[in-house]
Amino acid sequence: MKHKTFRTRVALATAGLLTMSALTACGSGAASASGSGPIVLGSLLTIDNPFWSNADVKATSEAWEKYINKELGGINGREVKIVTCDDKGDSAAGTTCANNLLAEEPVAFVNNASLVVGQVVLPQFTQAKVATLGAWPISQQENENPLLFPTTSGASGTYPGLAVYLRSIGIENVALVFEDNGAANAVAKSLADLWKSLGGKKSSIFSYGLRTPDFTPLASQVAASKPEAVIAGIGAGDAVRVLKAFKAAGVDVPITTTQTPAVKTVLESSGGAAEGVYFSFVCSPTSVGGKDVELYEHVMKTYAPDRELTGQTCAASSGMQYALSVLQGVKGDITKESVLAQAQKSTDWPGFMTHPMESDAAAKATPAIRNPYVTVAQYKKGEFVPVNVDRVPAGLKPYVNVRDGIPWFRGTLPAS
Amino acid sequence: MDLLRMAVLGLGLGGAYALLALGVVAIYRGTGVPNFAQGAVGMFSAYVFFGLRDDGGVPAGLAVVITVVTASLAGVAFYLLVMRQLRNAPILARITATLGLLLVLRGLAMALFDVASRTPRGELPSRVLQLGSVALPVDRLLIACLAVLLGIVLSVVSVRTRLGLAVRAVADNEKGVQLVGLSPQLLGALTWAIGFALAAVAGIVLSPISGLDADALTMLIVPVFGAALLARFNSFMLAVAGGLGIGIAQSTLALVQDHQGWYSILWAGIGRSQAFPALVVILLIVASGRLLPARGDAATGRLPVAPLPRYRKSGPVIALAVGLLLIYTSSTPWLSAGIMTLCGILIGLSVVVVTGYLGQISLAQCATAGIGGLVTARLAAGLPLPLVMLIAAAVAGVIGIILGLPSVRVRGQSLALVTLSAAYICEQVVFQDPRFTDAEYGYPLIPAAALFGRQLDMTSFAVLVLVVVIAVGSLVGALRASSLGRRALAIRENEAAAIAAGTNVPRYKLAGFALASAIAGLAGCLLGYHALVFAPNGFTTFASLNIVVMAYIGGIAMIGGAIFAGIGAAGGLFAQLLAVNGWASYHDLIGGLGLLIAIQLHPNGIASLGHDLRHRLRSRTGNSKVPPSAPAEHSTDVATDSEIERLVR
Repeated sequence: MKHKTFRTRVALATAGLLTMSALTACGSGAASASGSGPIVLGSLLTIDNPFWSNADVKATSEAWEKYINKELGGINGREVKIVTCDDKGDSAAGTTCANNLLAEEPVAFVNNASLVVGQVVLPQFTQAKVATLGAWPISQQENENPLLFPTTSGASGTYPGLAVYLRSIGIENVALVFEDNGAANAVAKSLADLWKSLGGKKSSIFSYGLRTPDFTPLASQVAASKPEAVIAGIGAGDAVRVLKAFKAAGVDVPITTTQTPAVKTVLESSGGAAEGVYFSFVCSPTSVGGKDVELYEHVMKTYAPDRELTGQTCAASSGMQYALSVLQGVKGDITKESVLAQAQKSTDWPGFMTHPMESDAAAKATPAIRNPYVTVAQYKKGEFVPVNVDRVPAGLKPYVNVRDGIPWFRGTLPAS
Repeated sequence: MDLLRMAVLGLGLGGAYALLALGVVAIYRGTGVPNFAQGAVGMFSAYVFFGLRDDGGVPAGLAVVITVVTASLAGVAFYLLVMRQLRNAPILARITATLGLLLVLRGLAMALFDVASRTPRGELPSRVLQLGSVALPVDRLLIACLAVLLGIVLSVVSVRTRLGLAVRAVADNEKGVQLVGLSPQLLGALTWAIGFALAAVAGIVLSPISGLDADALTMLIVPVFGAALLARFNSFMLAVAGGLGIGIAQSTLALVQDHQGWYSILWAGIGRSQAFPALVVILLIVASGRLLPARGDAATGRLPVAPLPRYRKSGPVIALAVGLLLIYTSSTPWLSAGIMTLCGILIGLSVVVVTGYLGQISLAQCATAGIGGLVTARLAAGLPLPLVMLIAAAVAGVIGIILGLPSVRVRGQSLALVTLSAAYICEQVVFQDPRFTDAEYGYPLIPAAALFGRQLDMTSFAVLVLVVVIAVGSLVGALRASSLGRRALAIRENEAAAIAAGTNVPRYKLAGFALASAIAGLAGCLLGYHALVFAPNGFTTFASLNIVVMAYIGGIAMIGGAIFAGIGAAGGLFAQLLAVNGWASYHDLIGGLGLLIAIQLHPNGIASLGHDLRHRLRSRTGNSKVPPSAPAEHSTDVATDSEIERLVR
């Protein structure tokens, strides 16, 4: 009898303790958004990750948040509050982030740039019916999501844009160098298909391991295939080693990559290996100029003075500017429903240091990408020099749009 | 000619593996522990060196000396504070301790340094040497030469000097060494100091070509262990040859990468060249049986206690009541973390079955969970939830049998390496290849769970997962109490005795792997339904290691251990607690430190505290049926010993 009493006591004490812990843990939920409180915008970013850090995007969004609150007096008198979560590129952490962000009751997400959005997070955001304004889509799930309103093409446009540029200067044989995983392999394959459809004669895919300690064998393989140009899918973390390996292996043809590794740390520590490399940019202050650039530089210099101005900060600024225009366009209460409705109405947008967003520009396979255009610039003596295409071949005309003398390239044809 | 070119270029890759393998062999020869943290020590040392040189302005030569000396002292400290205390512990405890060190170093690097991968300026000349048609950077050649040189020096020291012979002697017979007047502590400390110093040298010379970040060298453990295995963890020169060989083979494999056709599925396609070293490990161990020499096994060590679960009837009822209360009072983020925890508990239960009860070290339980997730992604659109759960568990169970086949020939650390390699192959090949995932672009989506025609919201789904976990937990508890469980423990304790008692050991091992993998597969299926997508990076080798570590802290042979593993699982309640308090970046650091402390204070796991407490309380009340969980050496617990005796009789 004594024995049973002890068991019962232990069981009751455990249950009591657990209940108390549960109530303590769950009691501190987020305060629900009200019409007079701040307008909450969520932002899911991969930051603490060796290969892709979006710390610049966070800093940019926060700089614009301060600008909107201090210089514009908020939106409709309400302050804007950006809540960021770093998923570290990990799917479990992404799920945790998504739930914590949704618990803040955001009216929209802004500038999401994450390795796991497409993997685990997007289904949750879609279920919650919250729009994403401005973003850096990297997966097919994002490219076709009806609640996503990116101002640029993200990863889906940067590589195809390079292919179109290379074809426009007469390159026939290209080497495609990508990481050895499913998602990167899919990008490489789609590029090979695009190359063929653009009339290119040959494309060869080369893959490298995520943690490969040496890129020399890869570079040697690329050199042996004697390509006329290279499209390299590399992040800022790998870029120096890959470019050095190309140089050591004697790959002396045009090497192209995206804006991701176009940052000071890579360019300065590459030992000259980055000289002459072509980068695709979704956003181009040097090409566009004008009032947009003045505002961009003002916001960044005032509210994020320590930040280097990069492709990331430029693209994130365009995302914030788009979010601002959508939120300002909302009539009545700013709620997730009204923001989504306004975003659906605002699919045509003039752009902010970017090519305009045009609803009829989206391709069939990537309906969310309303601005698939990129510019290309070559890194020469410490500067990015925009490329010029003297004469666009007839077959490529649908893929090139020259605005104010600057060619913008797209790798897809509009659905219409 | 192409073959020769790629073989020569593989020298850099091979040199990297060889350098790290030398340290692994040095530590194994001296203490019998495969150091999973060898790459992490190299990584952390590299951060120290480049921090001193680039940020501190210390001359490179002096920075090298400081870094190597610091690493050696860290090796001594780790040995004296952790490994020395575990010298009589089972091999799993010692492996787990090195995993704890890995977590601590990775967590520290992420907390202290910029995590973005960078390429520091190297000290070795980087000009290119033209060898016929091959352009080989000189630093790669020098790294390979350095590995060979160090291999020769270590070989000579180990064979020709009194010190080398003493280190070998202490590994073989510690008491004998003491009798001849040598200090095993001093020799053990020296072994770890040398191992860490070699890791530091590797980190300094490799980082400029492999990149510097928290994971760059840390995650090279599979190819490095492959090289060490080729040397039977014994010969320095063979380790160097093994490292260079694997590097060269991996490099030349690139020549056949683009071959198409069903016949090329083994070597052409996504992840094949990365998985190659893992395949080498599996083939080497399985082909040669018990390959690793038994070092440092003077005492066989006490295995973690596996007490009979108490509250087998009231426990599930209480768990259900508490679980329902939590589910219906939690906010969405905590509810989601709770579901991740419950799925983590399932994977933890699979570890309890295969490692805790059966004694077979499996580091691939998350990989089998991934198989369940993959099956779910392929079937969920067309089949009802219960059927998908059954099929996912069944397929994972079959994979478990395949995974368990090597356990018929090998066990202990050899089996740990085989399962680790299998997990690595799953991560690099199976979960990435569209031929398996059936998703050419993006990730395979999974529809929301529905039962009896009704779509489940998160709360209803949490209730379903809770019920599944309680059912499986009850099954595992009942298994421990059954004759099957007693036989499994007998196998864990002494295979020869179990065979003598008439137990069909291979059949039990395979059944254990099948059951454990089926449970893990079920977890993968539920994780898929929760995430609405098959997310391959939730089932990485690192996730598998993390679950085993957490289960060990909790008590690897107890249901409580599985609960602890679930709470500590990625995305679980512990992660959520850290996230809401802004400490998410310290997850690894806290987990690793917790492990190193817990393994000293409670080698049987934190869950054993309850047992001890209950025993003490009963002692006071004069009702002392249950033995304490820290019995004499060489026994699982008194109850288990008596059970084994009964079996043998």
